[in-house]
Amino acid sequence: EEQYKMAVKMYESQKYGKALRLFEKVTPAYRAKPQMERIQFMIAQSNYNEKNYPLAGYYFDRFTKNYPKSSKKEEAAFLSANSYKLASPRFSLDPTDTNKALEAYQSFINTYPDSDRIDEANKDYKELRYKLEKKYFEIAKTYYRTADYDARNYKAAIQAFDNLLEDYLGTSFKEEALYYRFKAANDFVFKSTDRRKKERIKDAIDAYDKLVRSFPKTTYLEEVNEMLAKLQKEEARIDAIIAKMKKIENIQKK
Amino acid sequence: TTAQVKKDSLSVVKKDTISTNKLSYEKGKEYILGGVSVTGLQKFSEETVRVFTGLRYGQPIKLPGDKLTSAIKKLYESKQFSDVDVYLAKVDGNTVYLQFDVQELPQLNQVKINGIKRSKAKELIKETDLKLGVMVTDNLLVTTKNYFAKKYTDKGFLKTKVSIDVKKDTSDINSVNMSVFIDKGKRIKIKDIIFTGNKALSGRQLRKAMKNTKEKFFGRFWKTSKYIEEDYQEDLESIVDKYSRLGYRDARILSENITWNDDNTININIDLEEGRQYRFAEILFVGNKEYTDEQLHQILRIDKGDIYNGAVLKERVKGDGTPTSFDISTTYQDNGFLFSQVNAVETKVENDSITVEIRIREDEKARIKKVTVSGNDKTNDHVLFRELRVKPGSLFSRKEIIRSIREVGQLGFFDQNVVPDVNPNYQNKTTDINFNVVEKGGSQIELQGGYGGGSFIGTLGLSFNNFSIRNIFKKEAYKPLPMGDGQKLSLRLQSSRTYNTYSFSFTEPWLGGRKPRSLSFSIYSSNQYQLNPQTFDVDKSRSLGIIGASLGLGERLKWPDDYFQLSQTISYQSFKLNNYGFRVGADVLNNGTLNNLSYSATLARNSAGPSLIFPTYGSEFSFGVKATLPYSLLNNKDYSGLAPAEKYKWLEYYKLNAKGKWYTSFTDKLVLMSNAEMGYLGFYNDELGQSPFERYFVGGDGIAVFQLDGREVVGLRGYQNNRLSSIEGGTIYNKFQLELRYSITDSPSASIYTLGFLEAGNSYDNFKDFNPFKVKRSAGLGIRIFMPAFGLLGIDFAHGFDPLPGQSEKSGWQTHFIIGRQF
Repeated sequence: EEQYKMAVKMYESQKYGKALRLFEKVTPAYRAKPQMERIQFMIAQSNYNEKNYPLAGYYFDRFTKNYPKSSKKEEAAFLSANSYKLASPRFSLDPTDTNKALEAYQSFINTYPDSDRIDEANKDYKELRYKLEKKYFEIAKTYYRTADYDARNYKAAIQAFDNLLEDYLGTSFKEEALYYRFKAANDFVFKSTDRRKKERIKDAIDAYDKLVRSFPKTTYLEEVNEMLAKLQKEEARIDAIIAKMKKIENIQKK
Repeated sequence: TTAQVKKDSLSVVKKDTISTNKLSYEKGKEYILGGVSVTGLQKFSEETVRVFTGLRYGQPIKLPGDKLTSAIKKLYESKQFSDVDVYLAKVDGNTVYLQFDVQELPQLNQVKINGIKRSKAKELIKETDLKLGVMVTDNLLVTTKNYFAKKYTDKGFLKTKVSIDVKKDTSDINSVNMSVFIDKGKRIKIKDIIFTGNKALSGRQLRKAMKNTKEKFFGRFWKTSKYIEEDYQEDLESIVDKYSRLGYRDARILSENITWNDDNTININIDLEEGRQYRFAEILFVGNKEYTDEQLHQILRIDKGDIYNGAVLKERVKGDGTPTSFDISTTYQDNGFLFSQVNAVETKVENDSITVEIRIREDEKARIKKVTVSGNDKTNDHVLFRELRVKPGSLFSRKEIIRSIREVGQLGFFDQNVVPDVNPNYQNKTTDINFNVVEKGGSQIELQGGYGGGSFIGTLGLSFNNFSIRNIFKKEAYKPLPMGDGQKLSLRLQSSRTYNTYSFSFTEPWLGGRKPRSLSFSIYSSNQYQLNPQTFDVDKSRSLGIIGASLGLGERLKWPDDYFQLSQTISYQSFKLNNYGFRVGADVLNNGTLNNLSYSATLARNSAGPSLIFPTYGSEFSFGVKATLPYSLLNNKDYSGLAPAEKYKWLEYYKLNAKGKWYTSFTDKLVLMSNAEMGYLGFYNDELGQSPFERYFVGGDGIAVFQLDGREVVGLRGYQNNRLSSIEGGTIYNKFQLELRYSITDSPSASIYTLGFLEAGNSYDNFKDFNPFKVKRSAGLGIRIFMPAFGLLGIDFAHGFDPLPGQSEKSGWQTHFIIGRQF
């Protein structure tokens, strides 16, 4: 009882670290009592204020599940999402918290479409999504950048750009991703043996079509058109070889 | 049991309402809930229980009905009540009033464990979660009791008795104190293990097959003769396994029992049936399209007529669990067939020969769709993704997963326990793979102040293994330091009254980010002053200044295989003497400048892994050349008459080094490291002779301390540092090592292993003396502790069996302290 009052006092005087230590002590005694609702919220809020964002996210989320009828549920749901967002590191690191934040915002937006915080939630959601798009775009580019050293990375880059375009339909990186997707396919053609070229030229030309269809005025237009011309020239050469081979085959058959 | 009680209480509603309260209600009619009262309360308030039930006044309620059932269920689920009954308190037209009669569970206040040591009791309480405020249920009492009993029987106290006494605590409402009495009795040892029914194998051979259950005898050291049920069951399986490896496929344990002896020991009696010995008849392959029967036979390595060995058959079909397993399943898994299934089935048993059919369902090859990484809290994606051999768009390959784990481990700032998470999608014949990594600090900071050589010495050393130089001017990157690009940076400043040294080095492993071509760069400068021996004053007019710089390029090769690396370094050192008195070989130099400009190239192959600290497989080889220009052959000077300052103005020498290391693992914790190495320092010009610089100094811990003469320090434990070489240093050395390592723990915060070793090596002054078998031998034991913030620390106790040069008594016991990495 004493410790509980003390903890609340610490909380109210913004000494969150101390409050957390005290709350930890009193929780077993208040398990399943009406005060617990308030305690759990204060624990979550203290963690938030102490910048333990992953923990805060977890506690706010647990609060919404334990007290579905609480008047603070909406606030907790938002703060849970917000905590995960604040915990989410820069794009090139572990995406676990970013994904958790996205999920939490999505569920907040679905549950409280009329909330005062809906604009902020939508804005945060977009920001987080952009972070993931950037992440997967940069990883795909890493494959492309190292493909000259390791030719398997052309395939890796192609697949990675395809994954990005498939998973994030309206991505802000669409134009660049389509451009690099085409470039990777194009470079791959000229690193391949003649035997493999036919199908890879087709894949590259398909990639070109996708880029130009989606972005007819793309800034890369001049460059990609030049690449396309070379590809078509190469295709003609390969077709000629194939035709020649067929002829020889036919003659041999006769 | 709760379900049972629930039903009863519902029937109570029906029965009691009618018989005792003489109130009647219409079954199935919807009433309005007018109120809820609660009886039987001790600690809880009425309001709390009402909240638990989830019932609201004024809500419609059927009797009996879902809402009431769920209210009772909720009360039980709160785990606060042992009994819940519901009565109809009042019916007022359409309105009903309910009464809940509850029995609160007592809360735990104090726990006392008697019969064992207090510290042990504390530990046990922690393990069992007997926390203040826990509800004391029957279930809790039973599980606690069983837990304690098992804890001690598992340790060989077969006669352990546990009883728990629960008493009401009068100081608090509805709480109890728990007293646990543990009587562990005497530890029970195994006297005899007696086999009956065995003919092909002797009792001794069978006892040996039991890895954990051992007979008691004087001097048993590694394993105790405790009886532990779980281990014993495992050992019974080992016996059957032993037989099956010898072709006794039908061998089985008929019965086994334990008999007690008077002296608190037990005998184990095992009766078994061996059956007959079988041989392989035909081995047939069914369903293979990708590989021919011949190819599969070569993998299986079992011929018709071989003694039937079920265990080996299984290993060659399903794999033996090691990364290097060579078997049919692994061969399929390494080549895209993630969904393949391979099973060996005995199809015919004729006399003593068994026909085996290997049934293969190849399925389609699986392609990797997504590769992701999680857990990288500090390291940027590109640093990891450029090392991963598993790539989107490629075929699934188990081998590449293992290789990826190794490559991540070799970075040095991740824990070696990388967990790959394979998520196959059978429909699309694709799979996603996530690598979950755990960051391990890779930075070491050394800040020292000390008193030595008559003055204060201050040292500041910083070494970062995962630096990010591009963020060095970004304030927000300092958390606490710009990290995550996999660059190495180290800085060391040391200063005292008589000398100061500064050094800086930097390595970028992927210069330009396109190729694994590393660039390293280092500079250092050092100044030493002579001390006036009379006054102990520093004489700044007598000094030795050294400036050095080196530039290195390393490149991973793809040929002969992609474990190879070629590195090249150009380094330059200048020694400026100012009335200093510097020993150069047999001469003493006072003034002048010496220059050491060299080029070195090393071709290395390193396949050891997965971790840098405790490799369990693979090998490391390197061959290196280091050479200066042969100035004396180019400039026509007569060197025989020159003063040392002129003679050594430009140092000349060439050097060859070869090293080979192998890691062989017996279990994942027990690894043998074998090492052989040698070095040779040669000269171009007979007149000039051997270079006094760059020599080998063999003996001791092998830690290279900053030295002025470019010496190479070679460890050989069991002897004092450098003492196996002459004072000038050797020009040839060789060394052989066998080191058995046992890993005690391997967590991100610390890796600890113990080691036992045999070593032999020697240093020779010239080729005439060289004899690779005239070596100094030693043996010893030691321990290594690696903590990310401190680097590697260790201590070795080694016994040198041979005398130091010029002495007649053997070197004897030596203690070596190991600081810093020794790879």
